[in-house]
Parts: sequence; structure tokens; C-alpha cells
Amino acid sequence: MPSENAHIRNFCIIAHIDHGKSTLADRLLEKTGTVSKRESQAQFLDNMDIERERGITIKAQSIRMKYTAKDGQSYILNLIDTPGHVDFAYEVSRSLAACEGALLVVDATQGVEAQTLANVYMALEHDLAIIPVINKIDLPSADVERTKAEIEDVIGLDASVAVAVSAKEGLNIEDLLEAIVKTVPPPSGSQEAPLKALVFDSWYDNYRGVVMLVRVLEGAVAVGQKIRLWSNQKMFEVQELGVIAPFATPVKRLMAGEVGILVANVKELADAKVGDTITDDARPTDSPFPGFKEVKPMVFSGVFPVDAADYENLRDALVKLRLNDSAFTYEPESSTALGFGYRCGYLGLLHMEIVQERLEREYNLNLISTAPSVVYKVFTHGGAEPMFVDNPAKLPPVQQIEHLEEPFLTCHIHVPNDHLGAILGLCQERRGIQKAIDYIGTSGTRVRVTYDMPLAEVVFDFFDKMKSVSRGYASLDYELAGYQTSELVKLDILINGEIVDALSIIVHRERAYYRGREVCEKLKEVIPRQMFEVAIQAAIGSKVISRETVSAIRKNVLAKCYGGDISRKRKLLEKQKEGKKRMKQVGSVELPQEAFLAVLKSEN
Amino acid sequence: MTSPPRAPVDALTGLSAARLAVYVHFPYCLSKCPYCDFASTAARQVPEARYTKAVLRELEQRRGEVAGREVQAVFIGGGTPSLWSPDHVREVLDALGALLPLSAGCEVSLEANPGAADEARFAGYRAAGVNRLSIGVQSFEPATLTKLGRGHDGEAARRAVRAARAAGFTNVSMDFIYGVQGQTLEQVRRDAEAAVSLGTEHLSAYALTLDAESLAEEVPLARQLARGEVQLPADELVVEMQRAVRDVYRGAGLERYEVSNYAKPGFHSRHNSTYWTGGDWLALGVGATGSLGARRYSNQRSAERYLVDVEAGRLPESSGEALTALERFEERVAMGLRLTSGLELERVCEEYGQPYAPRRPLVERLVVEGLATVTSGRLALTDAGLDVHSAISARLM
Repeated sequence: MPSENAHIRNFCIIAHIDHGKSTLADRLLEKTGTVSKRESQAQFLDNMDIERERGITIKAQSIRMKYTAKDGQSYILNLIDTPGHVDFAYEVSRSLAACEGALLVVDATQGVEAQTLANVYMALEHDLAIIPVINKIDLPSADVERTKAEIEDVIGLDASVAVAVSAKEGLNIEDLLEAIVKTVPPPSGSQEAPLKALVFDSWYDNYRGVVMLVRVLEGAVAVGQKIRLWSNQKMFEVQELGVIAPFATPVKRLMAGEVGILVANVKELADAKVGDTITDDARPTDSPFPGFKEVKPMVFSGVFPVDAADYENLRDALVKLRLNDSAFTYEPESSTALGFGYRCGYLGLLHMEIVQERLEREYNLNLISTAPSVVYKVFTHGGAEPMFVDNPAKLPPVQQIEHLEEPFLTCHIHVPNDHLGAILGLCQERRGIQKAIDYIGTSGTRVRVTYDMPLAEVVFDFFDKMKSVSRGYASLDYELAGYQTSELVKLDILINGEIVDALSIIVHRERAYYRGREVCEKLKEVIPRQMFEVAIQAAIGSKVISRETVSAIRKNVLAKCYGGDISRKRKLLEKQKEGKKRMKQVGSVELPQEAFLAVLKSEN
Repeated sequence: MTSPPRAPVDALTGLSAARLAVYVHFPYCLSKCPYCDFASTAARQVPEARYTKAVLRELEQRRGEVAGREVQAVFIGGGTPSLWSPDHVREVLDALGALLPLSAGCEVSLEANPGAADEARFAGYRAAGVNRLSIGVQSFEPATLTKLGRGHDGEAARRAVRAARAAGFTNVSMDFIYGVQGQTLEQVRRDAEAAVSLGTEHLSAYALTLDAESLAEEVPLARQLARGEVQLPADELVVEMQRAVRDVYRGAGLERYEVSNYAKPGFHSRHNSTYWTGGDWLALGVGATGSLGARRYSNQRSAERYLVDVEAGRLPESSGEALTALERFEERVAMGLRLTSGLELERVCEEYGQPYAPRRPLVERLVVEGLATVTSGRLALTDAGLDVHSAISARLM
């Protein structure tokens, strides 16, 4: 009975950050009666505060809608939301793999924005049917025809199937629903085959344990069924199945083609990896769904409580946070300068910022983070096996090091011809090794450049720089390309003559002088004047390469202090004392939190 | 009285200071000074009799709070208390003496404006029981006085000191301000030299402070500063000015004993030392702040509201505060460190139940850096340390 599948459409929305993805999703939910206008709080999809504030989606979501089309038939439409940042490229690819179609939202006043391109290409690689949606046609400056032309020129999509809408005003939403039914193919999996389901998201729920968001590809899954996870071959019994419409609604079975949540008494998020395949324990499928990757942290940084007394609280917070985010890792670290803390691993810088923000905000901790580092491979004289070092402070003394290797990425950058020069310059500056330049299509306007680049150069601010030099038009996708030997040195920072281990960074030898000067200048800016002079030095080994001085406070005294002044002046001093509490005492110097990230911030 | 006033010695600082003092505020002035953040009211007609009655009534209301305790210093400040006629001052002092026992050798100070003073008036105060005069000279330099909006000239200040001496005052102080916009180091030094030439027992020299946070109310000069209409000398120069003042005063036998105060041996202010040594003080009058044990109160800053409250039989308080043990400790440390005699920090910590150990490294560092000395257990800031007294206090509190 193919009819079940024939009435299912699984699709996602690809959109530039403010081109109206969430508003469009809300209109679809309203139009299909999934939520009433009253229920629809603005931007239904983005749950976490941080997601809403940053306008990005971190966790995927999926919502089931029912729609009766003009052909009189009733359809189930599953809207699968996707994360929208390069740090989460793998999660995006898994969400796309759960769909047969994608809506590409383009702002009719802005045209195609580069940020969406990487996801469009990824969608094309997954053979998704793409429906261009030209949004914001209610605005006076909307130019639908030009936008269509751009979709054809820049992306190479057929724009004749495009639907012009206004998500804000709810215009032509029905046309869009019809287009989804007509253009997105129904899922193809057989109902009779052994169970094969893709985990495309998972999270930890305090009451139910791990919840997985799955797309059943073949066969069916039912409550009570014994299932097996492919990557670890662990067996679980299905306790609960459900669909989100838009609130979780229990169901007994999920059939091939369907999307839903699955709860199976899984205790640890690490056992429910995104991209993993679920199959029947007794009658397993032949092969897992392809493309599964263990997500590994790429950058590491130390996280320390400003107040050492918060160490236990930090540990508790990390334990809880990891329940919800298996992509990040932590292990105890101790620093001479900062005391006891944790070395945490992240997918990238945005992921790092999000985790740290959540730690501070949701767990009310006052933290210091050290500059992120990639994992270096260290070959020592006489050492048989190389060591992996993710913390510059742990690098062996220079005389013991035979050579160093650093991880490289193969980066593919799609860029319009106009911005090619700027992108090549940037890649060159970031120590990239050019591999290829290919013109895409026949128009000669789009280029795909391939570079091998050190991961350390990419993870930091490469993405932002790439966007800014290409006015947003370049898109990046990358894969790991192994380790390569580099001329790397450890740059130490000395405060009043003492090395502050938490400030050490590993840099390329040729750029060490420049970086040393830059870091010293930045530190001079962020370290407030203190009671004593503070000397800041950058050194390689015993050689000092740069020096700055923060002069001592010259005058800080209240001249007049009599009976009526005392309370007010005490409060002033208490405020001053509070300010100190946010600083870390390192030796005799008070360092503000920003100091430890100063090495990150480069001005140009 | 030729010998200095007497008061008990505070064990933690070694300073003789009143344990219970009385502060009486007289808020009226002929005009407001652009830098002054004390409660003051410019009045053509000072309602002297009404105000005196109100203060006496407030004393009546509050005497219970200090019943049985000896008062060791009295200070009548303002405003311009020298606008208060000696008869009214006598009434207040008599009432104080009758209701609260004044100690033998009790210091009784009154602030006087050089413009509003003559020998007969000073003699009247003396007869009323005042034994110390504090004259608000601010500067002898015409340019500086103009910038400070002062209506008198240097000569008036000299006359005031002569009048005080003629009236029999053997304990006289003068107030100065330095670090005024456009003021040079040379002018400051000349002021200091002119000050010591008059031979007073006590001198105060305040660096002009206009930052909004440390003032009790917004003052016109601060507004001008914020608008960029005036500019104060750089911190470095202000520090140099303090050193110049210190050197000149020291040459005349007046040693610095507090951030802004200098005295001949024995002539430090017993009343003001109450504030710096954690003593109690009863406060009366408009805008006055009193502190008795853990209780601190502030009176209405508006003269009219104060009068209305008192006359209606209400305490004229506008705000009150219950100090926690930690706050009292913090004040003891911050105030004590204002004194060049210093304080026994370790003992203060002990008495207030705060650990000393976490503070020790900073104390040691301060000594190494020349910002403080420790002599027989007493931590005292040096001149360089006093320059950054707030930064140090905030870290030791």
C-alpha cells in the first residue's frame, strides 16, 4: 500500500539569517491549522534564548502539519529545521538527509545572499527538490523578476517554479503549500523492508532521558520494539514514539517516510549520535545510512572559574550541559595562573561561544576562558610516538621538540568572480596552499576555489573575514585533510616577568613577531591600571620580542571624608571591590576576563 | 586653653579621638559655593531663632540614644555656622552640656567664614564654649578664589585669623583647596607658605573633587567640568601639589596625619578623628548624618522639610541604614588607612571576624612597592600609598 508514503512530504527551509525563515515557518503552521495565530509566539522554531537572540538555530526541530491540497487529498508535511552555521555543517547535512525537498527563501529586496549558498549546494548534493521562495514581496523595493534572474545566474536553479510570497503578510502561502505537494517527491522507502531510521538530532530531556529525532527510511518502528544503534551496536527498547504537531503527540508506530521522536531509555546522549542508523534488533538492515561521522571537537580552550570556590559548580554545570550537547567535551585542567578548571573541546568558535554563554547565563558562573587552540602533533627527539597537544601550555620545552605538525583542512570556497581576488588574498594570508580554481557553469561568474589551509587559521575568524571581504557572497565548506609539518613556535606572555601559562599560544614562526606585538598591545588595552606598574612581554623561549607597560594608577583617593560622606564612600569602594572580583589575580596582577581572549582578537 | 583638647586613644590606630562626638549642622550661607556638596541653603534672612529651637528640639528627641555616655568632641559645621549668632550657639552648647556630659578637655569646634567674622563675634563664640575655630580660607590667591566663587579675599582670611587670636583662640585651623582649574604649582606653594606664616595649629588642604560619584549632590563646577568648560590639572600635577603643600607645612611643624589634614603635635582634630576611628557620633541639624553603633541616619537635606518635621515632633530623618558587621569592618579599614599613623589591620580583622591571611600578600607587596609601612603591627600608607588610598582600601576591605 504505497498510499501512506505518497501523501508525505519532508522538506526543510534554507534561508539567509534575516530573510524570514522563522516567519515563513510560522505562516505555514498557521495556514495548515497546526497552530492558531494566538498560539504562535513569534518564531516558533527557535527554542533556546540564545537561538532567538542570535537569530540562529542550534538544535534541529521538526514539525508535522496536515494539509488538504487542491486535489482534495490530505497530505502530511514535515518541516525539518536545520542549524545555520558552518560550525554545525555536519548536523545540517544530516537534517537535509532526512528530507526530499527544500525551500530556498530569498529576500526579494536583497537577492541571493551568500550564506545560504553552502546549504543550497549541500541540498543539491542530497538530490533535494528545491523550491525557490521569493519572500518580502510586500515591500515596495521588492523586485521579483530580478531576484528570479539572480537565482538562475548565481545558483543555477530553475526559477520558473519559484513562488513569490510575503511571509509577514501571509501572501501566497497556499500557493507555496501546493508547490510543496507538487514539487517535493514523496519518500520512497519500502514499508516491508527491515527498519532503517536516521537519527538527525538528539537531546537530553530531564524526564525522559535521551530523545532522538528520527526519519524512518525503510520499514517501521513501533512502541515496544527492540532496536539497535548501528555505530555502537547497543540495544534498546522503544518506549515512546511521537510526532511534533506542534506539541509532542504520542503515536504507536512510525512508518517509512515519517519523521518523529523516539524515546528508548537511552541514558547518555553519546549513545544517540546524530547521523547514526537505528535498525531492528532481530531483523537488522543490511547497511547503515551512509555518511555517519563521529563529531569530534576541533578547538579546545580552558575554562576556569574566576572564584576558585566555584570549581564544583562549574563541574556540575559541565555535566549537565553535556547531557544536552554531546559534541562538546571536557576534562580537568590545572593552570599555574588560573588554578583548577576544565579543558573543553568544541566544534568551532561559535559552538565555544554558545557553550560558554550558556555556562555563564544558565548556571550563573563567572568564568575565564583561555584562547582556543587546535590539536598539534608533537614529535620529540627520541620519542617514538608523536604526542597530541591541545593546550599550548603543555607543549614540551623547545629543545625537546623535533618538529610540529598541525591539522589542515581542504576548504572549498564558492565565490562570485568579482570577489575572487579578495578571497585568494585572504587564503594566502592565512597560509593557504592553493589546490584548484574552477569556474562553475558557463557564465563564468562563479568560481570554486580549493585551498589546503591550517585549521588554526580557519577556526578563528576566517569565516567572518571571508564574509566581509566578499560582502557576504563567499561560502565555505571543508573537510579534514590530515596533519602537515609547520614552522610553529610557542609564544609566551609574561606579566611582570612571570610566564602566564594560560596566555601562551602556538603561532607560525614567521608571524610570531607580529602576533607578539599585537597581543601585547591588546593586553595593554584591556588590563586596567593597577596600584603597581604592569610589564607585559611576549617571548619565544627566552627571547623577549615585544614589551608594553601599563603604568600605575597615579591618583585614586577621596580628598574629603567626614561623617556624611562615609556611607557613600564605602559604597563606592564596595563597587570598586566588586569590580575586582570579576578579575583574576595572577601573581600580583589583576587580569580581566577579556585578557585571556586578547590573543584571539586581531585587528585586521 | 593652651594645651590641646583631650580624648581617649583608639587602640587600633593609636590616635586620640572622641568615642562619642556631636555634630551640629548649620545649613545657611550667604551664597552657595560652586564646589560645595554639603547641605547648604543660600538665605538673605537666616531664621536663626527658629533653627536654634529646632536643633534643641531634635537634641531632646535624640538624647535617649546616647544616654549616660560622655561626649568628647563637638563640631558645629555648615553651611556657614559663623552666621549663627554667638547667643544661639551658646544656647545649643548649654543645652548639650546640660543634657549630655561633656568631657574635660572636650574639643568644641566651629567653622567660620573669613568674610563673616570679627573679633567680637569670635569672642562671643569663645565665651559660649567654642575652643577651636576652623576658618574656610580656601586660598589667598585672587585668581583661585574667583574660580572657587568665594566672596572674600586673602586679606579677609588674615584678618579672621588675627581676630581669632585676639579673641583668645589657641587652637585654630584653616581649610585650603588645591588642584583648582588653571592653578599652578607655584600658586599652591605660595598659598601653603602664606598659610603657615599665620601660625595656626591645624591646616586642611583638599584636592578639588568634582567627580559625580563621590559627591553628595551635583555641584555647578562638576557640571561645567562635564561640559568641558573647565579643566582640572592632571593627576600627576595634583600629586605634585600635595607634595609641595606637605613640604611647606612640614617645614612649619605641621605633619600630615590624614589624607587632607595636617597638625602641630597634639592638635589633630579630635572630632574628625571620630570618623576615621570607627567612633559614634550624634548628628543634629539639616542634612546631618549620625552614626551610633550599627545605626546610621541622615536628616532631611532641605531646611524647610527639616524644620517642618522637627516642629511636628517627628524625627527629621530622610534615610536610615543598619550597618552589617562586614560594612563596619570595611569602614574601619578604609577610614583607618586614611591616617598616616595607620591601623593594626590584623587586629581589626580579628575584632571583626574577618580572615587576615588572604590580605597578607597584598600588605607585603604594598610594603615592597613603597606604598605602605608596617611598624609594630600597624599598617600605614605612605604619601605614595595615600595617593591611591581608594584602590588599596578596596582591595583590603
